[in-house]
Amino acid sequence: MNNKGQIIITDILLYLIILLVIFSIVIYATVTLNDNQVTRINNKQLNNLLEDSISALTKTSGTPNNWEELNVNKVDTVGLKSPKNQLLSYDKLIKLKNNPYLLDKYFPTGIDYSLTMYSKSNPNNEVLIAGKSNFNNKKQIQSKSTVVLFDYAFDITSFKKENMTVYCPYNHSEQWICKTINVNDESLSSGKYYIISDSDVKYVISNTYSENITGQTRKTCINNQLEQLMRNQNQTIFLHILTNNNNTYLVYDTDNKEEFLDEVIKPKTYVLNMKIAT
Amino acid sequence: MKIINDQKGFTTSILLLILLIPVFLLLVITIDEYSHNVNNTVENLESNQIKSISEDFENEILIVTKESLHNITYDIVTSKRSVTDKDTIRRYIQNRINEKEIHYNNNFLIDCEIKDLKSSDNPFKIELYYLLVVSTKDNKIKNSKNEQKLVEITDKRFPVYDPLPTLKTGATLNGNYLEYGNQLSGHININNPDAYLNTIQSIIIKECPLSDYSQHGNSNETILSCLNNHYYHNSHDGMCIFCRLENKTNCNHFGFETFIIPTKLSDDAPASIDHVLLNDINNQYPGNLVSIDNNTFLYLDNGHKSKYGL
Repeated sequence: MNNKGQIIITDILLYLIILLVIFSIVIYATVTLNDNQVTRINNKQLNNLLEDSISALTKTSGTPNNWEELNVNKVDTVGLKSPKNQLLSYDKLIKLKNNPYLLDKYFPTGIDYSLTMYSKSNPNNEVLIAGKSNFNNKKQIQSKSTVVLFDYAFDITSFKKENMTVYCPYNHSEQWICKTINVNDESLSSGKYYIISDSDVKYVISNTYSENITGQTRKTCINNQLEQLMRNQNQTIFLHILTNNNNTYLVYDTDNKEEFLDEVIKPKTYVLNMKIAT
Repeated sequence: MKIINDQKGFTTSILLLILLIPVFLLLVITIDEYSHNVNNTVENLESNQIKSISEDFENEILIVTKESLHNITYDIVTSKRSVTDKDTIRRYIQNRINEKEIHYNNNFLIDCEIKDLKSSDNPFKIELYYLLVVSTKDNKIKNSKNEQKLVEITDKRFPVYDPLPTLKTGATLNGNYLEYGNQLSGHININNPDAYLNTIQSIIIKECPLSDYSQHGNSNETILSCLNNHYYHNSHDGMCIFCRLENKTNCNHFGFETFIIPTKLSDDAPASIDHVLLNDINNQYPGNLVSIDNNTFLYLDNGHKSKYGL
């Protein structure tokens, strides 16, 4: 019995409550999904920007590809990859560190960034290359790191066994590896020649007049010996190394980077980190 | 009286259905956006992969070219038959590249056309022209490169044999050395051809490392090292690698030359330079004796004596 219309009112109330609950769920879902999508799109864009920037930096050499040698107003784009190999160019990194604003045009206004680097063996010693050192009052920060090796622009000749016999002027046995280099006054004055090895090796340096200088070393600069053996303006020099299967290299350094010579034998890994924030 | 007559539940169902529409739309939008993101990521990855495959395949092209030159020159010196023209070499390299393309990567299409091969300013390198196209199977992403690269012919992994001595004299290869027997002296048509009887010579093309050729004469050890290694030297008169392969008599390109060491001692004999001895248009000329040590000597004209400082 429902003489007082209570059931009808209860029905309506029930309808209204159910409708309200469903409405609330739909509106909540719409708003939440919308917010999520906006945040996701923002994140995605930020992430794309970060990935594109670090990829452009580490996988391209920039334009022109020798931009590190040019005046900064002649630099179109910045890329750190060495044009000769897959390593990062140390010279390009230093040029960027000295002119950090070169990287600004990669990022839209309102977005802050930082590019830092540290040695994998010493993560506490982080060096700021470009951008800001901290992001105060920023809501979103994204970060990406990549492991890199550096090319120090040394001219490296490896003393490794080759599958073809080469007769040297001294008719050395197969335990020796003998190579030739061409030296002139300019190459001696503008750079240093080093013999470096992972252990002590015996070496002979000779010229085409069969004059020679011998020695034993793990790491030595041979410019003085080469000067002594110079008899012509363009002198061919024979370098004979008793390798005993050691890793031995002749390194020509034109930029006084003696501190990095050991990395020819044992390359050091570094971590390049980029952060962007909005 | 009921305000809403919903005895059979139609109104409730319709209302619920109407309310479900935005939920459904939101679902469609979310799925669409997600799939768009996935597609974008896939396209990015494919684009990166194409770039890296292009770089790898370009290295492959250089290796295939070096390997092909090694194989072609070995076939010539063993079969003693020259190639008819440069296009034969181009086609050989193209066929090897085609084989590599099939097996290289199943997920991408690689198409490389070797356009041309030319002599370069450095006779120990050749110019290679090619068009490389790497694309996805649906052809949506494509990387196309028209390149010109210098390929060295002195890579120790793929030694290139000098085909000219075999083609001109018919001498036989034994290991890396050519045993002339009496075939070189039979080819020489000026005085004292027997000075080159039973000459043995390495015919692998190796570039002489001396920057200034006049340093050859600085000491016996230096010239002996050059002769023992059978090094080749830049020369305007020497033939380039392509003309050697085609067994030509004349070459307009910048080429190279090497010493052919005589076996018989006399005051003069045909000059010990390959393009002189192997010349077959009556341009052979004599040279004077140049003694290096008790067992080694050469015959050289004044021009070559001065060039090598001997």
